Amino acid sequence: MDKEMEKIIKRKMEKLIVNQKSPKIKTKEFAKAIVDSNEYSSFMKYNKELKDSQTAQDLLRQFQQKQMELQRNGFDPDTLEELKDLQMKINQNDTIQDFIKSQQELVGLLREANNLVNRRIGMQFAFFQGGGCCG
Amino acid sequence: MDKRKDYPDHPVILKAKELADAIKQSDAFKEKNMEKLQSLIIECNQIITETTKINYGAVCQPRSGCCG
Repeated sequence: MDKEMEKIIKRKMEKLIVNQKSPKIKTKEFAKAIVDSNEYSSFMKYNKELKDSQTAQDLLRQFQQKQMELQRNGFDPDTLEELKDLQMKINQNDTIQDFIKSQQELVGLLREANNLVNRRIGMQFAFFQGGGCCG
Repeated sequence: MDKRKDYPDHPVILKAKELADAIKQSDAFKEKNMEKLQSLIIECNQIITETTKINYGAVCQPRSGCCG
């Protein structure tokens, strides 16, 4: 093989190696691994169930309203009692509890992965640009 | 009780290691060009958020209070 051809092949191989190591390609693979994970599937499943459950939505809305009422009007034993009652119903609602558990598991995994990247590159990887957490 | 889980062999963790190594191999990292590195990291975050439909930056903020 002549030297010129050898050089061309070497350059192509180097380019290929660089591409394989590209952070953007690795980011896409990382994101795909998240989407393919059991934690993500569970979260998506229970997130949908929560959105579709009228009972769960009503409970969460009532709880938020009572919380706001308590903040607005100050301490009131009756409102506090109602709030405790709603909290108990939330704790007993399977749809809400399944959602919370799946969310905690997914967030735990993502934070673990993010901490690992932080440690390895020596700086914060997650970049917060505002907005809510999930969905 | 410590609720923290360990995921040493989880595919997401393995991919996170590869991603970190790729960032370390990037020109921006080697040149210590913080501006280039910051824009690379923002772009990576955007890719993750677009693919997963989860606000990655918000979820992984140390004190976001997100999801407990």
